[in-house]
Amino acid sequence: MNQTPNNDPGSHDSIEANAPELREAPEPVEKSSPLPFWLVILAGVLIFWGGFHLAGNSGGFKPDVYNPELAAGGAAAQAGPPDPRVVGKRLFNQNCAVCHQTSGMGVAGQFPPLVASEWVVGGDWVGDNHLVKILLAGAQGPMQVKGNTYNNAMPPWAQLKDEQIASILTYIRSEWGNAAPPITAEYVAKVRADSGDRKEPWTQKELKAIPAETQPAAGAAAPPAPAPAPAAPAA
Amino acid sequence: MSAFPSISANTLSTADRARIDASTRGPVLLFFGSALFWLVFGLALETLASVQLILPWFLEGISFLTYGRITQAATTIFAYGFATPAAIGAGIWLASRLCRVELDHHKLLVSAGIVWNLGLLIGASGILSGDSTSLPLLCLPGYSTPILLLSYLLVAIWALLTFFRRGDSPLFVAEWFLFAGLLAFPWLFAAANTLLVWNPVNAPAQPAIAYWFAGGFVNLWLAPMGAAAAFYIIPKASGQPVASHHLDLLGFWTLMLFGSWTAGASLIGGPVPAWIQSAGVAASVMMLVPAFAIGVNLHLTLSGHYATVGWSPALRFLATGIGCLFAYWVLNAINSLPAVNAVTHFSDIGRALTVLAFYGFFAMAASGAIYYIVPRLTGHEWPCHGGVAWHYWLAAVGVGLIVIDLLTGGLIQAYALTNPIVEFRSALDFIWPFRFMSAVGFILLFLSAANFALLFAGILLDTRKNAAPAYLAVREADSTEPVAV
Repeated sequence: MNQTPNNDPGSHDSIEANAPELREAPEPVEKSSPLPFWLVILAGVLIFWGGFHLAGNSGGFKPDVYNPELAAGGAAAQAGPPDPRVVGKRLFNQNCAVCHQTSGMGVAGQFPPLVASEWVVGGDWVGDNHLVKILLAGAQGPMQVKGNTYNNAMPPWAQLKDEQIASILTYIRSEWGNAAPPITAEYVAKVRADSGDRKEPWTQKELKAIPAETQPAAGAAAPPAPAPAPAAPAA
Repeated sequence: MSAFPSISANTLSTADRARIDASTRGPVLLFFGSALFWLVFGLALETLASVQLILPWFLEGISFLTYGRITQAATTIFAYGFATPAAIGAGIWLASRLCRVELDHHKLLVSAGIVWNLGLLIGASGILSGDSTSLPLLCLPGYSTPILLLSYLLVAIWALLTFFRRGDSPLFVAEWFLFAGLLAFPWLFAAANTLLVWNPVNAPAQPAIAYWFAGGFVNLWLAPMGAAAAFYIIPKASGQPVASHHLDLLGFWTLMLFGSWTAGASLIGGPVPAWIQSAGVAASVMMLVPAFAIGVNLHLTLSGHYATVGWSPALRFLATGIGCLFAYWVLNAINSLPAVNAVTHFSDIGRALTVLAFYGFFAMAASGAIYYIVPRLTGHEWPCHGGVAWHYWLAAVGVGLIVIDLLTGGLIQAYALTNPIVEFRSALDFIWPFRFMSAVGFILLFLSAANFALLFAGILLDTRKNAAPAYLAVREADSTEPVAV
């Protein structure tokens, strides 16, 4: 089938074809088989979908519309603020769980539990202000928690932002069967202002001298509290 | 469905082929040789970068080998050192064969090859010494790109001259893709460099242009050049006609229509007008049409003759490359859906898709073209079939490892990043083992490229004096299929 160049009447050149050229098939041609039917349908469906998507998500092709959902629905379409209990859980696991454990049970004799602790959910003389103060400046010396005495030191966490402290407290007050109301960032800011620039950790004796205070009910300005936690099984 | 040859080719005589091949020898071998040198060098840098991603202290303190510089240098060297010269080299040979004219202006193209490599050398050194821009695929410093454009101008002049000197035969499908690619590249490269590097436009418009270029580089430059090689070499080597002229038309025009619009999908949630994002999503999904049209067309062409893919290196590499291109377009369409993209956007999945397009599709397709073309230019056979098999399997396993690991790891990372309970640090810990496996994949890719470069040197120097073609698998003595190498 293959011709050598010497037999080829069109050849006036001395270049000899090499082996790969000699074994080549003739130049390719095309058949005209019809389009597969399913591909026509697929193309039609895709074009329909593409036009539909483009019409619905282009903000009227205006150059200043970057997010049609925001443009159409205004503030209502914005994602709500993150659930403080979800943020709080992450911050708790990062910062607090080393001592208090992810179970909130602490370590017997060393780190006090948070589950059903009067310091967390409120007790005879312990109020919300005491809880926030401990988180801001830390605590040290002997403390009674659920009838047991702990003698250890907790570092201050004033470097966290008000919202972060509020999220952590909201989380520990609603997890593991605890059911105290959430703490707002505004309340943390107020307690932070009241405490001035106190740096040294609190002792139980000092805290007992401060009258207990309960966070004022969430006012109109406060962000909506998350839905109350479903009755969690006892930890 | 039987043979209805709609376009009858003016058959080239063997002597005509021999004259055309001999006339293209110098420039094509120059472009291929430099492409393979840069491929090995770029993959060495890519391997170092992938090791730094898992061991951050590796090569710490050497400024020109820091992660930011070598990862940009590696991408740039792949795109402009390997991919573009390999595409030009294959394009020169394909254009001469398809237009049925011998190559003249030999010196024009040899100069273009030398100037191109000089420009890239300056540009790559500029990147490693800290002059890079921050734009993906446009990292070359502004003082080196004019040299590359000048070199391409010489190629473009030659391409136009060849196009107008062709015979009066109707254009074959491979020619459509070939000349579309050759025309699209300077348009993309000059426009993007003008608007972003030499005379930057306002900042808010920059990401849209940068991603337009990155999408066009794959869809309007690499994809048409790979398709041109596939649509000539696959029917040629398998001896089968291209299955359907109508599928050619559908695949070509939908690729040209949607190819440059896909980039908006990379900007979902970014600071660009919503219609650009939505047009990108729609175009990325509609790229399924050319993906199926081109993929099905080549599959029907080879259908029933896949035995040739078993033994022919050119067909094996080209078929794998086209398969990867199909997979890339399908995965890219899925990844651009807003619901999916909201999760996957900042994960390693984007990187997996880039590797699939660059090393899975283009490096494979270009290797297939080189395996087919070079023996015709040198008159020698590939020195050893074992080496070819090693090249294929190292490259295939390497790309497979990288893409599969980064896709799975990227999914885990994406879910970790979008879950507020999980710390950022943990998301990085989850992806670590997958990045480790992708570094192994890059080592395999590097070995495959080094192996290929040695084979290329072997065929140029004719080290083995091999008389028989290099088969990847045993060809049965009674096979009726063509020799196909």
